[in-house]
Amino acid sequence: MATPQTLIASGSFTSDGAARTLTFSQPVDYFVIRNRSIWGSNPNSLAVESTWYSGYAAGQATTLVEANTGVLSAVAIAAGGAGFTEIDQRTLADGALVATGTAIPPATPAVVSDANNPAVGDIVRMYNTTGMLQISGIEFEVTAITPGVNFTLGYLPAAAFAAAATNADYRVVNDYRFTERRRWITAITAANPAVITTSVSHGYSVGDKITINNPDANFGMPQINGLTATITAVTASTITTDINAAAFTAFAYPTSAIAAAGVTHPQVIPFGEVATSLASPTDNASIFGLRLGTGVVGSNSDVMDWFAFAKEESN
Amino acid sequence: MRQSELVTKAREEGSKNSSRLEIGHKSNSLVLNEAAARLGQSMRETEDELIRDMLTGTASVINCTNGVNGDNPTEITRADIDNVVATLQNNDCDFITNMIGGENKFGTGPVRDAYFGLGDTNLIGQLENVNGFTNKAQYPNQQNVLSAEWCSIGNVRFYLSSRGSVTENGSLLGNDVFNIFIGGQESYTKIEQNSISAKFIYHPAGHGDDPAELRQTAAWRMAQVPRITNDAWIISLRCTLS
Repeated sequence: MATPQTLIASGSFTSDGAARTLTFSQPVDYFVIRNRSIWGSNPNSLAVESTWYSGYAAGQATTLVEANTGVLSAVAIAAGGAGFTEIDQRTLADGALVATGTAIPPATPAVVSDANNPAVGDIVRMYNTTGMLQISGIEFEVTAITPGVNFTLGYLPAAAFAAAATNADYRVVNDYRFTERRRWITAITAANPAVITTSVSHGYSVGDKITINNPDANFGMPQINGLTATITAVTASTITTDINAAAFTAFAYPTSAIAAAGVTHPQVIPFGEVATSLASPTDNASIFGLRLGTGVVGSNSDVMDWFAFAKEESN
Repeated sequence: MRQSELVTKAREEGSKNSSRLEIGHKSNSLVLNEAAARLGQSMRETEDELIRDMLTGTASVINCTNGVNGDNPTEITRADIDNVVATLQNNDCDFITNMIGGENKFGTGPVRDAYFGLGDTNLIGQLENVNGFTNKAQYPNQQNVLSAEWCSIGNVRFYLSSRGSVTENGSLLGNDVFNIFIGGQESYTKIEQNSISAKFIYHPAGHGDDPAELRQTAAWRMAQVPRITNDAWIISLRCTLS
């Protein structure tokens, strides 16, 4: 017996040509997206409609491609392609995308040469970073991409590293379930006030209380280990604290060789909220969603209309 | 007693990492009895997983660095455990279990005051290789020893679960990292939201919009938030396998 489907959400967005994630209030069983901008305009073999069904493999999609003659043809995007990827954070299973970058030059921000781009906003866990072991095992946020060429770890100041990485494996991972979260530190200014940079957007608010955990002297600035602070200003990746670090020794990443011998990266630990009155720790930030790959998300400035359906519960 | 009078009583036993659901029922329905038992297990496992995920995302981290497997973090060693114990002691963290004094029994030895260590069952072989390993069977007595407990090493008693915290590809070489949460008294808690205590729900056929008496409902409900209460009193000791 067929199971009826119910429209649970719909919407539109103007594409920037980059992969993006849509979130929903419940799991989705059927999803369709149409490109309003090129619909009926005889585009040059572009997807005018793409669909996804529950059970598709990551990256898979079925699309209707319209040729410049106006003829429609059914085209499949195979698993692992630039189609749709389901996100269900009821479990903390990490993302399916595991890939190998070829280089990270020592520059700020760090740019990873890689043909298998993650999406802007994705969190990638780097490992096997040959020649740049300081960043292995740590999660970083992707802040920009050049499709098929590279992606940028915008919050990693790598200019002081001695050498480029000649290999850089990575995996797209889910963020932790609850806010507020522990974050890795990539920089601390020896100044008054001390400003901390985190490897991914921290999500903290002004007034939040934090502890700086820097138990490993290889990162410098041991004086800050264990200090608590109140956040006085924030950007997406920086925290201005009420700590006077002007007399502290400098914070610096250890060499790749020291990292290989074993280190503990410094972290920011959130432990109290003033501005949010303990509201944020109750926020289970898990999502249901679909990641729209570059094969289905449309070209830059295209207007995309989407519809998400779910099966009605049967008894 | 009618089925609708089935009640449950959830009881946390021992430390906060282990819990058991007692079903106090007098139902004559085998299906309902089985469903109640499974739902009880489901609820408490869910609760434990939420706490695990909170600790994974929030607790401060120390890597094992004294092993020899060439990774970062390394495999777990006694020096790494002692380092965490010293850190917790320096932070005035109280032990969660008292010493078990020596008794006149062959093959046993006293167990120190201890912090709890919550880890994954894949660590069994690793822990057995650590200097100072004492299996729980070698404790002088088994009072207050939970089924999930595996051993004590130094001042930590380890409790293992197949659903322990693991960070995939989290090491320098891309190996899985095992997060062992070591803490003491009052290091974390769970807060019930809007006074919604964990509750087992049963509705017999005919309840609500069910005129044909086709549907029964058995479910559980809870609304709670796990939370670290003192971040200086719990540490995630991260290690890889040897």
